[in-house]
Amino acid sequence: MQLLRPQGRDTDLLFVATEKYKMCVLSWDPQTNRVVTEANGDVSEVVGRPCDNGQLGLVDPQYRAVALHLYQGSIKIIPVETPHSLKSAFTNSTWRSLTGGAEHPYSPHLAVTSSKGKQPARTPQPGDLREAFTVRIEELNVVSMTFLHNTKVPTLLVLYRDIDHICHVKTYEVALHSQELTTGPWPTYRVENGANLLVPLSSGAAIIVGEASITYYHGANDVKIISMKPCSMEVYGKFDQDDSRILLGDDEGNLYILILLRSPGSDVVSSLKLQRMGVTSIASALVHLEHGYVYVGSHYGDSQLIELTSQAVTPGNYLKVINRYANLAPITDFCVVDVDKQGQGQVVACCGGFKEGTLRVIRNGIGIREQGTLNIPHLKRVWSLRSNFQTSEELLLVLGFANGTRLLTLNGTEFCEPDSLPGFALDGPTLHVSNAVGDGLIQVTSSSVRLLRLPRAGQLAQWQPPEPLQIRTATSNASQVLLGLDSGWVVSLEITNGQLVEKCRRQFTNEVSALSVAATPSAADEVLPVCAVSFWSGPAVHTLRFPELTDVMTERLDGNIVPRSMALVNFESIHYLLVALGDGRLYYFQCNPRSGELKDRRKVTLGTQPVLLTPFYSKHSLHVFAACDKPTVVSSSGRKLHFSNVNGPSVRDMCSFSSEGLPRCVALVHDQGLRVGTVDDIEKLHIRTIPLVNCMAHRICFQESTRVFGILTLLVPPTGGVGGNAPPSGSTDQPSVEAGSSSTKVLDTKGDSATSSLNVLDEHTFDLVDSFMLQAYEQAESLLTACLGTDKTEYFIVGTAFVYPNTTDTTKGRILILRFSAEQRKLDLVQALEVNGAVYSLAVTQSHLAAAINNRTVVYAWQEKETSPELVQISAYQSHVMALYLTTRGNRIAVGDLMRSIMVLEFNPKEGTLKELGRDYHTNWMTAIECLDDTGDHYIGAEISYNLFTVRRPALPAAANSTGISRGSTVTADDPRLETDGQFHLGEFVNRFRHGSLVMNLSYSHPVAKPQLLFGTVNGAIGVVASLEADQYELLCQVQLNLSNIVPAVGNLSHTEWRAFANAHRTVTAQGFIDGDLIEQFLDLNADDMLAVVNGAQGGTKLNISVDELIRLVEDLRNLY
Amino acid sequence: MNPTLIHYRTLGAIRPQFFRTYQQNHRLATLELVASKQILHACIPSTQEEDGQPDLGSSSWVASLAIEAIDSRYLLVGSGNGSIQLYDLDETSGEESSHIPTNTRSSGCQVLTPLGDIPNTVGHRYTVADIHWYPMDTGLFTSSSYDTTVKVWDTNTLQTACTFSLDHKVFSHAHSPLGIHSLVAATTSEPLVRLCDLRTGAFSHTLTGHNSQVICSQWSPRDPHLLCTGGADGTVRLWDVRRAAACLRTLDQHNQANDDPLAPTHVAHNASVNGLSFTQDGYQLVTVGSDRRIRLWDVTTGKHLLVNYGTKVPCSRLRKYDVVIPPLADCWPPPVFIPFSKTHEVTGWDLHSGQSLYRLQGAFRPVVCAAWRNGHEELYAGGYDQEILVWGPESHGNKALEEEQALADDWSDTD
Repeated sequence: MQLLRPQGRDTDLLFVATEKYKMCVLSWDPQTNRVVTEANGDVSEVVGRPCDNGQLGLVDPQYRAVALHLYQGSIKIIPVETPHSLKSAFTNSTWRSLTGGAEHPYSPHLAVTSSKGKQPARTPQPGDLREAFTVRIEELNVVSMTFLHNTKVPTLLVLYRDIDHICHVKTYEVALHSQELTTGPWPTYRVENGANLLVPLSSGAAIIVGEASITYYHGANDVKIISMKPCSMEVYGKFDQDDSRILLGDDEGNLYILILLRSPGSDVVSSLKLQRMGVTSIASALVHLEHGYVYVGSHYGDSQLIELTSQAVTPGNYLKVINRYANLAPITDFCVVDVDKQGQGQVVACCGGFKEGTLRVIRNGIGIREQGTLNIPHLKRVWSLRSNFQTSEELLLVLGFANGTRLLTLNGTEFCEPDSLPGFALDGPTLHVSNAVGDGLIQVTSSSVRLLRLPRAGQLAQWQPPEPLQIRTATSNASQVLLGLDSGWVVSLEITNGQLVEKCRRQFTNEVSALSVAATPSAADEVLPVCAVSFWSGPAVHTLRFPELTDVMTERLDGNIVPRSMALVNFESIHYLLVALGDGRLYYFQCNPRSGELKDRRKVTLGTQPVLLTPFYSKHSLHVFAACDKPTVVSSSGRKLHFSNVNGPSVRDMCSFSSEGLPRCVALVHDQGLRVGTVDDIEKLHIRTIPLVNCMAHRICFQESTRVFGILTLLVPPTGGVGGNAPPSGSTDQPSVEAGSSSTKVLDTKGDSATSSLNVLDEHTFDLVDSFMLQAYEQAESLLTACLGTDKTEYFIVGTAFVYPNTTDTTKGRILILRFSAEQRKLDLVQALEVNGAVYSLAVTQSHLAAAINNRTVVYAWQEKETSPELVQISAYQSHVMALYLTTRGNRIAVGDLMRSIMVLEFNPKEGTLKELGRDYHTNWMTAIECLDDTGDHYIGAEISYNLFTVRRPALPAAANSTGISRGSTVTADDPRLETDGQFHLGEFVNRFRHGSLVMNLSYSHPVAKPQLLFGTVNGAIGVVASLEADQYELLCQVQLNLSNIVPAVGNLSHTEWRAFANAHRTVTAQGFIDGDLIEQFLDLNADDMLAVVNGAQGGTKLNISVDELIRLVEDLRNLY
Repeated sequence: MNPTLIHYRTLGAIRPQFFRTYQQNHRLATLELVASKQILHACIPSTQEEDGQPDLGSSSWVASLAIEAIDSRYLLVGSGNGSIQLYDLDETSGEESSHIPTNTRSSGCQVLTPLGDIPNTVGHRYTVADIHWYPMDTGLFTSSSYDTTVKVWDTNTLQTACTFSLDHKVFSHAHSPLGIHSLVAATTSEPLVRLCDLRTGAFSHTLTGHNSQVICSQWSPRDPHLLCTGGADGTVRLWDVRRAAACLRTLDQHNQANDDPLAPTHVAHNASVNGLSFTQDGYQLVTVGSDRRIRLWDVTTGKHLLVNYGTKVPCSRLRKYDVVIPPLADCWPPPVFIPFSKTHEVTGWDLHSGQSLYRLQGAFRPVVCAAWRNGHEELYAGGYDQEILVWGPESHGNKALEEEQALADDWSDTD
């Protein structure tokens, strides 16, 4: 991506070139708030080898041309209109057409003059792109390229490596009229062999950064070189307008400033100086915003906003981190853990690379976007009141303190005390407040129950308990009031005709700890003739009839903690009774609304403190807020309850507080006071970061039986070198390379003698419990937790490889079996088996251990020997090149090969043999593999060119190829070919597939799609793969096609082309997969567009379902994650 | 195979393309005979001869090979007696391949049998000197033979769809891989290049310019209308088939700065040009000639790139030599493989530096033709042997297992 600002335009345009060789020019229209596509085109070539170093796209600083280096040996130049070229164009009446041998010409979507001289459809403006042409360059290994500033003709500076691996820089001038490259002003100059970065300066010179020196180059006569400590600079950022300072970041996270010293009074650079500023995340991009604020964009860790200071913050450190932006990339491995056994998993992922290694816990959560806070100490309870029973807007907040009550109201956006509410008791603690039917308001204090008329009419009725009893707990709804008094008395009142009528009173043996009547947070809810109480005597829930207070049912609960809060709510026409205990557990039952009988008890652990339940409405559906140390929102979807964490500190109480000024707001009480915020959509991911000090994790698994995580880590030495501050190195005026003056050596331990270990972490706190170090040069490659053979103990199984420096092949490795004992919290090595190869992957099949060792798949049995059980090799099978990934199902093992795609083996434990069942013959370089179904016949694989594909063992004899040779009668059902039945371009490099889901298990009778797999990618994306039924798939295919016609695509890039499976050998349209992200965009369309999609406007086909049905279908799909 | 590289790949520290190139080069550095595959070109055993050259037309030696580029699965073999065979390279029937249970040793080896066979009574009468798949579709292939015909075959029925009679011995023919047009260029022992149109079944036109027999030809993979031919007069000519005066340029080995691209002093080789091939991106051209030289040319400028491949190039006979350059997706920088009958081996050089990299030995008789299997890093070569030999990257497992077997203790414990 590059910015370009042609003359005559006052905003920048963005030039974007994509991996699939399309380009577009975009601008932003602030009026419609949309991205406008100015031009687009295709810059691919039929033949050509993509550059090894990636695509390079450059814009001339004077906006005369755009250069793209996409394929080896050629550069595509796209001339850009400037006022100068427009003037000359009108004198030549013909446009330049491409010379013979045209590749696919890119043509901007602006119409241009035809060569016959007809009137142009649109007058060319500065900034328009003209037709592109391709030029050959001899240099095949281009490291970097840039346009030079301040030149008469667009001039390219090319840094390349020749056959002998010597680096040179060379200049070319781009002659736009004759469409060729001519030799540039400066001769070829040899630079350091490790040079990899070119920085163009506005003076027309360039800086070439290498690994041990930095060169300032302005023609052969003006060269200045300084040396520096060996480090590998990856990225630069401009700091000053006049380029006197340039930011450089290396691959370990050090940030440097390169200062160009000029002789006073002239522009000539006299010398260079490199100053180390400090340590940041390993930078992939550096952008200087202003006043010393720099944004460090990082692939390996969190991006940061830092401030550079002139005074050292700590010795050797001249920068301060202002803000961090979470980044999940790269996800090397993850596991899906269901800690609460609710079917809602959380993902624990090994993220980050090198020194930024972290573990991140990702789960669905809810965010509260803060609108305001009120600092009110000692606040205990909060309720909200509406002005009458029918509206849904809350007007008043009632704050409950230990010794009084206050009222608050919202005036515009400010909180203030309202005019007094006559009859409202403010002098003592309030137990309960709620709206009652018909303009009524119930306030319960310890001495009375008052019925007031809103908004000002004063007290209507009052009820007082008989002396000397006081009211201890209370609850009420639209027309029922339930009170718990001293000595075990329970009283039920009803509100009729503006009067409080006592219906019944009953004495129980113990005092009431919590009680509940049917919740009516809005006018639509109904009251029920049942209520629930619980007592301090023991953990039990009693349902009673209301108002007679006769027993219906009693449910005993486990443990000896008493319920502290209950709620009877109606989710999706099912009545539930939620019972929250004092230790953070929540039980819920289904409750029969007429009889009060309870059934179907479930339990969930929310936190560790007493929970307070408050039903509230958000977006027209009922939720229950559980306020405790881990606040949770209970909602219902698909007739099952979901529990979503709220990210925030512990909450004491909560109430909803929506008004015109603050829609969808809630008010939360916590230690410091009141926090008012809007609730995000209830499905949002919440990420918790656990930093790993000095190591990076690359494999993780969770051991169920002992409730610990095992991770494989690699030690990474701390950045900054050994010995603290590094003095600024080398500044010299001589144009010769001088040895660096610094004496500290930088250890390069990335890989060679790095130490690897297995660490065991606690399941909740992630503290290190124990660790097992591997030997020198031994790298841990794979990790598994499993029970083997008839042994009931769950072992950690680690596969390793010995990697010695200066050798490329691994011929030695080990399989380690370790046992973690939960009581002693220690790891023990049970067996170490030496194998001759690297153990890339481990899996368990029918109590045997399958290992992928170099290019063999070996199966071991766990056999009992005299002293202790050990692994014995049973069988081995050789696959093509390198077996990298294993997945098992039943007795089937699928092997993902380095470049030979997937092979399915069958293991027969009785005979101890491995038989090949089928193989996919395409050349797919695999990056991850997983089994899709239960029979072991359907597999999904991810491939190195960012594609996904699925293979299946054909059930019937393979059909003849549609073209070419037909196999006909020679094919039987044992055909060993695996059939590829799905192909898709994902655009992400997938590292791992795992079974699991981030949402609760939805046991629909007719699910739209079953979430099957989660996948994690190098760029930090987590995705869901869900399976669809055949008819749903057909329908969604149509929807996808129609949507791609309606939804405006940025840059007019075609969705079908983007999603076509493409690797170096073949390109196929996507099949078998639906792009869920595109389908979801249906919900963001306005009504007209939705109708257009259903009718198949703009080239689609008419769908058989209505807009509403489609909306429901897409919303169901949204629930998959 | 370094696990650290795989680890860096999962971190995103190295680009997937770099990883692939590195792995491919690593594997190609160890090309050896693949023992697990045997393609027996079973036919009548050849009659004995004194000088090692069999009578043309009386035995079943392999004269030409072609592997299709779409699936890289099917192999066509044109033999010396005029018959043609078709093989499926992915077939795993026959002896079971390398499944190795412990304590027993089976030297797994697949023997491929032909899927189809066109005997020389139906097909050509003399040697099938050149055979090619139709690049767009494996349902069609063409073969040209010393019996002066170019035949177009339907693969499914193995019947001739069309025959072009050229009246002169056909040395080679070529299809354009781009599929824009369906012209087949056939080069014969007259100094003409005949263009046959597959769509109409008739001759399209003729290119004149060579002075004697035209031996080898190939279309440019980049430009659908650019054709290159080499002849016994030592010239390599580039043609644009759309132009009336079709010859664009004659390549000159001395790079004389001459304005006329067709000057008669331009000579590519000092003797006949026996084989040529473009690199897959169409930018460079490799030619081999009887003056025992291999030359590398830049196609756009026509310059001789002066890469020294050495002088041990045993190219002598007046026939087409296969020049095999693997596609760029398979390896970079690509090697150039040329089979030589005199030395019974396939020799490989690095394209850019000219360094001799491979001497693939294993044939007992002269090796005549070669073909590369895209995506699989395998080189197939055939000649006067009964077998088509396959070279591929070294398979580590074999070595390790052989060591295991060698060290395995078969003695009974009771002894």
